Amino acid sequence: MGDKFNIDLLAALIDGEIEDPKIKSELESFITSDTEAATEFKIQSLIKNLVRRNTGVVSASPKLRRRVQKKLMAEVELPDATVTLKPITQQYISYATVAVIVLALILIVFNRPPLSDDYNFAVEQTGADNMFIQAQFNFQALLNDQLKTQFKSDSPEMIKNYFEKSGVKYSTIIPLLDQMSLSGAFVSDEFGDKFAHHTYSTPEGKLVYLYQVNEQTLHSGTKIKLTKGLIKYIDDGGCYVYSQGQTSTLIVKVKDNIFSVVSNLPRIELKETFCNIK
Amino acid sequence: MNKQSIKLYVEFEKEAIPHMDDLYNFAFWMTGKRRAANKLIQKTYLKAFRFYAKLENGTDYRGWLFRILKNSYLNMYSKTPDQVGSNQTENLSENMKSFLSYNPSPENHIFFQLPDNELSEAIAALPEELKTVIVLCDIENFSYDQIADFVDCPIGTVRSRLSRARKLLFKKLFECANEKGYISK
Repeated sequence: MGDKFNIDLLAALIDGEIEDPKIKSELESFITSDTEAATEFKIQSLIKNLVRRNTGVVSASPKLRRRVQKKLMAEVELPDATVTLKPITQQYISYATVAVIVLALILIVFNRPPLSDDYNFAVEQTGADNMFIQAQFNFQALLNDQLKTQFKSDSPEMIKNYFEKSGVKYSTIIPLLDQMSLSGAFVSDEFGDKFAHHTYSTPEGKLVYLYQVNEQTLHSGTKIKLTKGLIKYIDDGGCYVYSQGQTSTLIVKVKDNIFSVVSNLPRIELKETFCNIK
Repeated sequence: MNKQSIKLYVEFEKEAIPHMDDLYNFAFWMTGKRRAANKLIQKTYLKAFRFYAKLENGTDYRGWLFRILKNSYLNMYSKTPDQVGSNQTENLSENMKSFLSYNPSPENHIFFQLPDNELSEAIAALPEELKTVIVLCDIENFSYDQIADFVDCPIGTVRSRLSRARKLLFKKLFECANEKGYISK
């Protein structure tokens, strides 16, 4: 042994590409008995290890993803209003899906009276930067597995830590609740500001999704919005619940944060759990 | 805009977008620059989308996207292929051989202490055909079969190029480490 062909086989041995045990064994003997083969083997495995360990995965940035989406949407002539509905989490979410869901929500809102006891704030909430709309959209995406939590934990402290480390600048509140367990969290990015989202699950398999924003951000209305009427209602201590089919959306103020909670729990259970959190 | 277009777009998103990170990783290591990689990815996805409707069911979307990326890369960035003569890769100096025999443990190896940019620059400086196989094998974890299919050559050639690429990288990094005084005489 010792010709070029067999020396090249050493690369294949290191890469796990030699399946024949006889050839494997011959190569291993070759390495131990031949100095040149031993040198070659060291070089191949050294460099493979080095490249493997020292080259991290370089991912596409969210900005690049958005740019690609825009270009693709331009190819099918999707209208500008849809293009501005940016993905609102670090996970990739389709613009067309956003368009379909928002359109469906608007149609349903106008064609079927909501079950809310209060003034119909839901019908006034529009736009991709609206917290109410974002929460409903994210909930659907979680249910359909198009969106996944990035950090899995049942510990409020660990989730708080995750939010801080991920760049969420406001103080987050992670309630511990009876009858449901914390399951995970993710962070979204709106023009460089990070926002906190976490989820709970119940023994019956229901999902509770909680999106919280500091009230200052909502009052300023620059990055995330709610209508003034709804903000005033919850500032005054109100707890707004809107139900549609199996899903309810609840908006309430807890300390300095506004919670938007969406769930497929029964409306009354959602209200009892979250309207009384202080 | 029509329903058919939206349906196509939604399907394309579902099949193609999840591979963007893998594709981007390859584009970055081949071009060595984020900006160039960004351009390449945009071009690749646009091209892919335009041909998407013609694909058959059961297509290996990842492989298909990588092929489009490869062709886009060759069109945009590839220079005349460098010929790497066998004497460039086969003859190790005595210093290099001694270096290997006195540095058996990869984790404590001097090469692992070199700044990251030395490795990425060494990879970027490789001739195209060698750079391609080393990025696909050691960074993207392609099998030899997949690499052979991608570069359109026999598996033996893949093996040989990988072997030469690693040897050439070794020589470059040795020279770099030597210049920086990492290697004691």
